[in-house]
Amino acid sequence: MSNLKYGVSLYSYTGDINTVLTLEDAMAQIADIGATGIEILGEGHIPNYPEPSTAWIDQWYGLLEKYQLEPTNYGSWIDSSLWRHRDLTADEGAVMLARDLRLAHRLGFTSVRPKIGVVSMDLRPHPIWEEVIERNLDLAAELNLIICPEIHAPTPIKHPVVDEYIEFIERTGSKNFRLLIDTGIFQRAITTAKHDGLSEEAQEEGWRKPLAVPMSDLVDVLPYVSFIQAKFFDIGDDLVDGQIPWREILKTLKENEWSGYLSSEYEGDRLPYRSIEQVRRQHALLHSLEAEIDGTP
Amino acid sequence: MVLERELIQSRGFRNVQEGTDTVGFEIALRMPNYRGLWGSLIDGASVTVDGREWSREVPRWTLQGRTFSIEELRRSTDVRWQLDELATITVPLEGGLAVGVHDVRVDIALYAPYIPAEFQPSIFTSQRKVTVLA
Repeated sequence: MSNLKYGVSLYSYTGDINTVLTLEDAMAQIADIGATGIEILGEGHIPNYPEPSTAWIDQWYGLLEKYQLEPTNYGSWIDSSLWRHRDLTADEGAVMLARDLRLAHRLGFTSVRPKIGVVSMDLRPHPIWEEVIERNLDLAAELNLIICPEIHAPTPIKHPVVDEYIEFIERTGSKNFRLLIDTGIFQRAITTAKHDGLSEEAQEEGWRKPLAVPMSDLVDVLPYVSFIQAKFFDIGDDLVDGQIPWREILKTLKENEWSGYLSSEYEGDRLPYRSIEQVRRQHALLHSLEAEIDGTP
Repeated sequence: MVLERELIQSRGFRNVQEGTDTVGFEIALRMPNYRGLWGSLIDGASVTVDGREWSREVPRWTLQGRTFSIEELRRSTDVRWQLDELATITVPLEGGLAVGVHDVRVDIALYAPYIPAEFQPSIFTSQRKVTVLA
């Protein structure tokens, strides 16, 4: 039996957070749409990261209680080219990941997504990744955390990067390393959403090209998937998403009895307040599709 | 404290005094990225005021109460530009800027190691009119 839960990543509110939304405002928005999970980016949403004050941690738990939200996934980074004159060492990477695991645990999260620096155009992770993760598996087990790198466009599921992650799971037998799927890989149509900071060429390469990964590829890796970032760009007034095939995604998850969180990641245009309305539309759409699939009108 | 939406903030735009001399001007900037960054991932910001331009190598950076040249910042290990904290960049200019409204543009260069090197750094641009009071 599939049990889908709904959450929101604060990434959705990029640009609005700290300008028109406080952390509490964002949590109130998430609670208002009936979502139960909150996902954050450690380096984005924790004041004085990596050493938040105890007053902030108290506030965090107070707000979780007030808005009845549970912490889901914590986004971290392993910046393999933190400097231009040398690469990060595996030792340094391991220390970084351990620091984020401890902080995520302290804030009540159940999984950590490390975003690992890449060394090629097809986004192969820096070779330190394997040692960095392996050296943290015991700590993750002790803290009851799942480490889950994300499978993100332009990397599809049928790709050596994903094969290596799965081989790693098989080899270590660890229950604390899984995959995170970003639904941007299922994108079927082009988006005109602007991605701040990137050249036209980079956006063309990475974000605008619909990767259109087939559902059968998702089925193949679903047993290894622990979390889903429900990436989207634009949902119209008629509650239609022209890019991401939500009906097929939900149907695939339900038919294959996958349980876990779908955590909204709005990545469309960054106009003030737009993110709030877009996340509401996405949840309205997902709930109506789920009811339809279940046969309950 | 809520920050202004524009990356260039109104507050914090001012001339810098050294003793009795005006030696330059400062601009306070909001972090353009969706996460805060370690200082070493900042590759600088070029500045244009009323058509006069200073390259990325020129401004000094003040983050979390500490001031760096861009070269020092690129090699730094323990300072961050957080989403909820402003960076102040200081541009040397003898006599400073005239009191009044100026057309200011910044192009902020940031590295993201998870994006292929071919597409790095990302450049975030902000341009607006801001006012020097003294």
